Amino acid sequence: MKPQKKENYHSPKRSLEEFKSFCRQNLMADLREIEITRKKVLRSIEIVTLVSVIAIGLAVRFMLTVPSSQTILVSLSIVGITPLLWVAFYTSATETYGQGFQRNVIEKIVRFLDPERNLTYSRTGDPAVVLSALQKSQLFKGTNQSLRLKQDRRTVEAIGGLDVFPIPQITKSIDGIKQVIDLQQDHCINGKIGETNVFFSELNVQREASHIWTSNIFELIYDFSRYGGSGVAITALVLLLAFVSRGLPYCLYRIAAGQRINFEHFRNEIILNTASYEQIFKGIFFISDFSKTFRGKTVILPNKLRSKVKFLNQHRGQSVKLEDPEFNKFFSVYSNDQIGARYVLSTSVMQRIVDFRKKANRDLFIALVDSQLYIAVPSEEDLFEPRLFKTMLSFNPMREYFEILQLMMSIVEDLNLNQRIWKI
Amino acid sequence: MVQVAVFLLAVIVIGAIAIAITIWVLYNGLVAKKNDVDRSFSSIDVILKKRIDLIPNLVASVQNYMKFEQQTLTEVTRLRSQVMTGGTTRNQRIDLENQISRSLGNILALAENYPELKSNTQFVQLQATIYEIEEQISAARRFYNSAVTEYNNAIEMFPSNLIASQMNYQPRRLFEATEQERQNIDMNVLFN
Repeated sequence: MKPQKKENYHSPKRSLEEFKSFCRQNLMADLREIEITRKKVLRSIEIVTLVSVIAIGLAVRFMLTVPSSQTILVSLSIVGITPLLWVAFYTSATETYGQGFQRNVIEKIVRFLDPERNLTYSRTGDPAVVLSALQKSQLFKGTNQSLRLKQDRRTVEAIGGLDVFPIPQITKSIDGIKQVIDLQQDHCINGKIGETNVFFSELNVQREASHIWTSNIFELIYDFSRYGGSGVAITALVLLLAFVSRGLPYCLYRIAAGQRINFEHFRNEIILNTASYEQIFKGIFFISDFSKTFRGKTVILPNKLRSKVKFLNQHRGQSVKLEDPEFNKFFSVYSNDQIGARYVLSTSVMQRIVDFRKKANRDLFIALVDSQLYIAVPSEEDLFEPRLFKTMLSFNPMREYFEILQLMMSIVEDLNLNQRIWKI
Repeated sequence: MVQVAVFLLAVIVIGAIAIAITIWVLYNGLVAKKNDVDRSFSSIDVILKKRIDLIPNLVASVQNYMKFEQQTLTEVTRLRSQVMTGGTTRNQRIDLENQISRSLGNILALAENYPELKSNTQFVQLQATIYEIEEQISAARRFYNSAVTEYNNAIEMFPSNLIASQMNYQPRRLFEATEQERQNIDMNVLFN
């Protein structure tokens, strides 16, 4: 029997050498410009840091040399508010730096990898679409509940303002409980690779849990201090303590891990303590057609303790025991259809998934739901963010962007998605 | 003395309860595994029936073109009627279905020699359907094999083998020849 191939498509493979010369020819001008911006941003951050440190130092010294209730009040206010201003400055500076970068460089790399222009690149996309895909895939815990999408300032700007587009809501709830999901989406790549429709983007999905019991910590302190007097001083002191004990590790971890600091999250979680954020998924999320038509749901999880315990994965269906020992070493499979799962995970598909897993050298979360393929590649850091503390004129960051984009685009070929055997 | 007696009694009772629970769990596990095997076999059966239903259509559509391959066509029709009459044991049935797989593969491979047949849309559709069904059978067969492997492991391994022998559970046979068929398909692709 001969499988009937509709089209035998091979995307042009680009080598690292080709990319190097492409960088030299096309990206150098952009990179130089970015490097200048980076230096400016870095210098301004340095100056602001220095000013903040001096301000705090002077305030402390002032407080120690002239100890009176008035000076303590003013000094503590300065000590408390300066770090907050610093974080606000840092986040806005990195954001403007990132935006200028993203518009040019990532799009050009995508064009380089896709010279036929089958793919379109956009800075942001519709978060409701991705959220419903995440829900369908059931890859991550908490996404199968009723969810409400949090309005993101940047996406509002992108889709044309709050009045024109009301908050996208997903209301499947029966019991009225809605989880608020904060979904940030960057770098959407959408289009066709061969015969296959693909979409992928960088996602940061967090669940926002509001603390009902402390709607605002300052109101509490204010109420308390009305009786005790000198409310502002206590407020400033609390602010300082909150910042030092929670804010400093938060900021340092993020800067070290190459992640952006979201000021709104910082304010809500660290300063006001009105909400906490639980990470659901951070990384690249890939959606495409699958080469076979099928109904049912099969979820492939990396072999972790949690994914092995059947009891914790009951909502995903039964555990599917497959024959490929190498595949079993990497993955646990759950499905609501034992035969359907084996129909989509033929021996060759399993082998291809294992090969792709080895090539990516990252954990993979794969879901096959109603003829659609969903792949989530988690990543700790912001993948397409420009480095602030390293020079952008070196080839290393460019190589990382290139490799991750090429990896995602190669999924179609690696999993042989263009071979439509049954679809006549 | 009394205390020692009570202690011993307690130990014996707890031991008996533990043994009873173990037997209960093992017994239920064995029954569940046996039922899994039966369930998976019946799901293969559903797909196999679909394939059996396609055989007359296939024979009818290729008969006029493949005059020189009558032997293969009669063979597959004979196998089909043998399955339809029933009365075969499960192992015989597996053999028959494996033979059908092989002869269907043969027919579709031989069809490559008849260009006019390949341009017949009805045949092309049938070919695609059979190919898809074969893939579904292979999936169902893999499910069956994994169920049988678990069942066989349970009745051969200690301590569940003790209970299995009491229940007179016999090892089941695996569906074989999947790999060989797959290779046949690949070879055909290579030759074309």
